[in-house]
Parts: sequence; structure tokens; C-alpha cells
Amino acid sequence: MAEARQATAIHELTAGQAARLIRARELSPVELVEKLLARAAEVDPRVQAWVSLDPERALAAARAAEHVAVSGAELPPLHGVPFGAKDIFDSAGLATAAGFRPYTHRIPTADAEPISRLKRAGGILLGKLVTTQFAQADPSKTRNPWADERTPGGSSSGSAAGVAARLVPMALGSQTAGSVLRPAAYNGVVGFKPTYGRVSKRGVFPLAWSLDHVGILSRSVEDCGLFLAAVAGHDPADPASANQPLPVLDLESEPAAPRLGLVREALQHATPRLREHLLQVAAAFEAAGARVEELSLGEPLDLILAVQHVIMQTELAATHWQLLEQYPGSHQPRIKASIEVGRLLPGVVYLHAQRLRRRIRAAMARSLAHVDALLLPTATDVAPTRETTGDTSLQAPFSLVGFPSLSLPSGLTEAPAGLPLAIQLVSPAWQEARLVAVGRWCESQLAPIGPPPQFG
Amino acid sequence: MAMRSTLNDGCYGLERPAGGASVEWWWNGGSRLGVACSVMQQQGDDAARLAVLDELRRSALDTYGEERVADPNLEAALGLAATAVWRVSQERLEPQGNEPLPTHG
Repeated sequence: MAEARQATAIHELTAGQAARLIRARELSPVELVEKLLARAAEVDPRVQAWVSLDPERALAAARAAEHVAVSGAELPPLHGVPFGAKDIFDSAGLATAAGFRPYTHRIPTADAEPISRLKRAGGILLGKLVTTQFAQADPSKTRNPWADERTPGGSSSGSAAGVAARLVPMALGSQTAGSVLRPAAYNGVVGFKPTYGRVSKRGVFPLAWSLDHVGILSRSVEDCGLFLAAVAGHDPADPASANQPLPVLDLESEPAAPRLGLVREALQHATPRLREHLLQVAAAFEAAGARVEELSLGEPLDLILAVQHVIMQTELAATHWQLLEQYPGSHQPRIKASIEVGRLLPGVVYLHAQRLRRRIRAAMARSLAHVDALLLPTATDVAPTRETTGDTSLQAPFSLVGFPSLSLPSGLTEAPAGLPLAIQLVSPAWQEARLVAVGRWCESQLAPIGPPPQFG
Repeated sequence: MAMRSTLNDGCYGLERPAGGASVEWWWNGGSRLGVACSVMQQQGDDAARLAVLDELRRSALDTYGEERVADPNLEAALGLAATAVWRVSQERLEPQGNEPLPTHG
């Protein structure tokens, strides 16, 4: 894929485009980093996506990358490409506070494993992005670049808004209920969470360990594939990391039209606006050659969400109750209440929920047996106002069962609001290669929504 | 949305926050468990859910005291947890032997 160097502003480049230009020696990693630092100074006061930038180390890494690029050596896939990380990922020498005031000066000595692997693939860490406190539900300070009065979603607020505002081409996020895909939907960017266990969480601050996933916010499905190729793989130092064969990704050839399962429960649960939008998208996909059939998740949505809630609340209480006692007055209101109530839930209910979770997972796997991916709205509606981070009900089921999921921008509401709409695709566990292929096909059928009007 | 007003006005038996704040005042979990809530009401199981809520609230009073339990965030969290615990407890499972890890079963 040839890139037209002059046709695209540097801050508009996706990670894949930037990597190709660097490889072709048409773009300097130093120029790219400098442009993004300048853009942060110009734009971030309005978005408030960055917690901190690391200009010295980023520029040093860019100069080293440029030196290697001009030497003619073989380059790793993301050579010289900047990325950001949600501020729950440890970063060596750079404060990692998780939105928690007592951790403001907590400086890790080692990178979280996903950061480390992205760096090994040539990526350059530009800085840390705003998270809601400990990746839970209290809204953050970050603004939605599409509409100041709307939430950017959470908990990966800064990652999604930063990618949308063209502050960085890709950013690490995390999802326990819906914290990668929902912010992606609300900010009009691509969000991807691989299968539970596919990506190491070593050095990532936990919320609820059996639900926490590492994911990526980017502006193309190709970038999700590049991310996955860089970070996937067993990490013996992370007990949640699975030893599975690596996905064989094809980011070059034309993907085939997929078989898609339109999720009945999601159609019933979404707002009329989102339902109508999804049906229009499904009809367009069908007209382009996809096979679309309606199907059920196999278990009631209210049960799926109740099981997810019990597990998440119990585990987050177990993770946090001692911190709550150690630092009284430092937790924000919603996470504090969640911890307090989570401590009261009976152990037998948690274990019953874990057993139900396996039944739900088996039912969803059966539903997916005859399609390439599920198709549903990512969120029940467009981004709501800022008192909340939004509704998790259409993302949480796939965090519960650990299946890989992908959110794609699929349109805008009518002017003057012009808010992003998004579709979600879900494949069975360990089938990320299939999901990325389906995502590339769907992306090719959807008209790009472009940048937010004030951030092009 | 009807479901959300049901959530805040009826199902959890909670008052809206002072000042007439939007229903979005509730956490992001509010609307998702509103699904459970509306189904529950259809099934007429409110008494069973309220019994779970009473038990949780008593436990919260014993642990955190009256003033803390009056906090609207804690009240909301108790309501959501009660609905979830109630819904999970409705599902019957046969006793099993060895239990696999959560995502490897």
C-alpha cells in the first residue's frame, strides 16, 4: 500500500501508514514525534486526554529509530510509530497513577508487558493517557472531541479521545465491562479487545482479574492487527496469560464477505435510533455479499449482566478494600461504593456466578458456531452527557465470556449533533484472525466518518 | 427511556438525587441492570429481590453505619447488587465436582 506523503497531514496518519512511510524513508520518526508533541500543546488543553507526555525519552527513541531506518536494516512492524498508554499501565521512569491521588508520584521501574512488547515491535511511548480512577465508573476530566457536553466514555477515556483528536495514532486501553469498545464507539475510533488471556496483563493495575482485558484504540482495523501481532503471546509471569498458538493475521489480501449473526437481544435492548442504524448497516452488508442471519446469545441478557456484575463487584472489592482502608478519602464516590458493597456479597453467590459464567460461555460459543462473527451495536445509544461514562450492557457480555470483540465507527447522527455511531463484531475465543478479517471487510464497506469537526 | 425511569423510580425503590439530576446520574451499571429490573418486574418477583436488598442493607448498616448507608452512591450500589444477586440466585445448577478455572471450562 503506497501512502501519499503529501496528501495526509502527519497527525492524520494511522499507525500502519506511518510505519510504511518510515520504512520507505519518506517520514522521519523524529518529525512524527515532534509534530505530535506540538499538536498536544495546541489541542490537548481542549481534550485533556494526556496525563503526562514523555518528550525527552520519546525524542531520544525517535532519533535512535531514525538512525536505524537510514541504515537500511530490517525494521520491526511498528518501527518509529508513537503510541500512548492508559495510565494504569506501568511505564518505567514515568509516573503511573491510575487516577488515584496517592499514586501521583508512583514511578514504576519496569514497563507493563504490553508496553514492553510494543516497544520491541518498534513503537515509541509518547505518554500516558487519562483513565477514570482505577478504570472504574467515576467520570474523568477528558472531553469528547465530537461534543464537549458528552462523555468520552470510560474507563479508557484519554486513550479514545486522544486517538479521535489525532493526538496519537494508537493507544493502549483496558476493558473489564466495556472500557475499550464503548469509548471507541463514543469517540468515533476503532476499539479492539483480544481474547481473555491472549495479551499479558503483567504491570497493568487490576480491577477485576478474571474480567480485565488489554485492548487498543486506533483509527483502522489494520492497526488492531499490528497491535495484536506485537503483543500477543504467552507470558509465564502472568497467571492469566494463556499458552495458545499465535493468531495468523492476514492484513494484505482482500477479505471475503463474512457470515454475520445479528444479535436479537441487542436489537431489543438498543434505542430505536441504534436499532434502525444497525439494521441499515446489516442491509448494506448483505447487499455487498455478506450473509446475515438473526440469532440469540443463548442465555437471557439480564442473566448475563447480573453474572458479570456479581463477579466484577466481588473481584474489585477484593482488589481494592485494603487500599480503601489505607488511603481513606482518596477514592472517588462510585468506586468507593462499589468496593464497600462488593465486600458484602456472599462468597457462594460469587462462585455460583462463576459456574453460570461457564454455562453462558458455552451457549454463546454454540451461537457463534455457524457464523464468522456476531454483529450488534457497540453501545445502546450515542454518547450520553458527562455525568456518566455510559451504558456497558452491550459490551460487558463479551468481557464476561472473554471472546474477542471489535468496534467500528459506522456513521454519524444527523447534523447538527453529528455524533458517532458504531457497530460491534464478536468472534469465538482465540479467533482474532477471523475477527480482524471480518473487521477489515466491514470497514471497507463503511464510509469513513473522518475526524471530529474541530480536530481535523 | 422508560426502562431507565423504571430503574430509578420504581425497581430499586430509590429516590432520585436531590436537585432533579438526570437519570444518567446513576453509574454506567444502572442501565444495564435495568434490564434485569424490567424482567424482574414482569415476573412479579419484587418481594424476593427486596428481601435480598434488605439483607444487603442490614449488612451495610452493621459494617458502615447509618450515615454512610444514606449516601446516594452506596444506596445505588446496594440496589444494583441486590438485583444482580437476586437474578444470579434464581438460576439452578446441579452440584458439580472439580471446578475449572473461570475461562478454561
